[in-house]
Amino acid sequence: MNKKLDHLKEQYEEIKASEELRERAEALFAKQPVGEAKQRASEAQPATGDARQPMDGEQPTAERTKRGEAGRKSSAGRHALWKRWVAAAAVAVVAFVGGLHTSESFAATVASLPGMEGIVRVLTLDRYHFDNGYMQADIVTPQIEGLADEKLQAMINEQLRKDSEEAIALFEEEKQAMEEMGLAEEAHMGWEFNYDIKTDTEELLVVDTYLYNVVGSSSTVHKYYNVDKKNSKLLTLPELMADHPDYVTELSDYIRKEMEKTNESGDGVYFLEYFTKIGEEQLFYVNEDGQLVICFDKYEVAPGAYGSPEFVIPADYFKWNGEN
Amino acid sequence: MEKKQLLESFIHDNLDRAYRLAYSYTRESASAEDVVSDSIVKALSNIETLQKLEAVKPWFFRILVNTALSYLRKEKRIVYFERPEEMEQILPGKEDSSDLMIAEFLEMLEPKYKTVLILRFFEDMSLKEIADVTGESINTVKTRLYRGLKLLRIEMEDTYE
Repeated sequence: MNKKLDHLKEQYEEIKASEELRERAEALFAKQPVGEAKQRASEAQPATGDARQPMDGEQPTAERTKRGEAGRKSSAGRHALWKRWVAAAAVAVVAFVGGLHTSESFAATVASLPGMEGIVRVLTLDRYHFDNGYMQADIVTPQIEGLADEKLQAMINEQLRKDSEEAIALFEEEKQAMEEMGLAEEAHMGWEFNYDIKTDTEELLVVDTYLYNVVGSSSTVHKYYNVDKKNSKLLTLPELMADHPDYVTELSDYIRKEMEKTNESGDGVYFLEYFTKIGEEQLFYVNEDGQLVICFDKYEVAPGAYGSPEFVIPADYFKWNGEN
Repeated sequence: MEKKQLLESFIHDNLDRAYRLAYSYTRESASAEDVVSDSIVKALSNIETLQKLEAVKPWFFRILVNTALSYLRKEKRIVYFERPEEMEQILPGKEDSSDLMIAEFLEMLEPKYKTVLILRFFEDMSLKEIADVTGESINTVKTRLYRGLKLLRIEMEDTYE
């Protein structure tokens, strides 16, 4: 060959994959048992009850089957790697939603909730639907209405709309890439962006938006909007914990003990060695009883089969009274 | 051998190659790692499209190249040089490109030229295999090789095959 090219080739071959990437790659193989590579989403419901029904009675676009045991026998290293991988996937798929026709069944669901005589409610503004038998997407755009503080409402709605548009754009991009690769008929992609009303009382509205996607393996990314109706603001964890200066340590200790308890009882395989403490952007919401619920995304602290774990903090530690 | 095991052993033996190729596009290690991971996930979920077991390298590289290009489309920040004169401006005096560094090489070339040059000269793949990776005809691959070398101002004494 040519000496200039030889010279370049020598340098090129100096580029080496890191140990981390090697472990990550191995984990990807270990994660999918032989023969299950093409199996769809297997998001079992977590013990804490994360059951969500499609709002409009349609089947979810991605089949959801339970695959209880899969992925539970993992080494400590793999847990961390999953997390890494999923974090990367999450970056790639962060998304949310918006639209302008009210979903009747959704309205009905909301109406059946206690406190729905309240004025503030969530509507499905838009719905993006795609299904060609190989690739499915169902992406809605929720919008909040009736909030006294219109500025806050506009801000939340803008975020919801952006997240939804991003979900659609990412899905379309992925779809196009699959088509270009000639893999369209093999892709088995399923995307769903939707929301749940976690809490709806006189004081509080909690909207949980989630992006669920399956491209080979599945992932779910949540975002919670804790809307304080009376004070017209979004609740933040540091604000709620104003009376607990050491809340990060205290809540983390509590969660870790709960994880240990579950693991010891044989009911769970939380990644204890991975969970050190709750983060600055920790997912949380306040439930109808005013209790704080700390949430984790899928894979974050447990195998995927666990879904998205939630930890309800005892009321004697904290109870929301609508004042914080 | 079962296809998935074959892929696993291929990745095990060729992870450096996969990473290098991904890095050639992203030129940044974290993204290159993501591209590799992403490609493995895609490969696993589409393992049935692997027809011939001996074709695992072009098959996987095709997925990898497409994943990397799709990553670049999302980025859209990267500017390439199309004409030798433009490159001259950033590489003054490097007329014979004998001290061309790999970083410059990766930076200046458009992906379509980069792909064929890397696969042909660094990965020693045949024109046919490269055509399988890029999904183009052998003639297109040849044309791109010539053009790529010209951009690099590299005179080839040897033939391509």
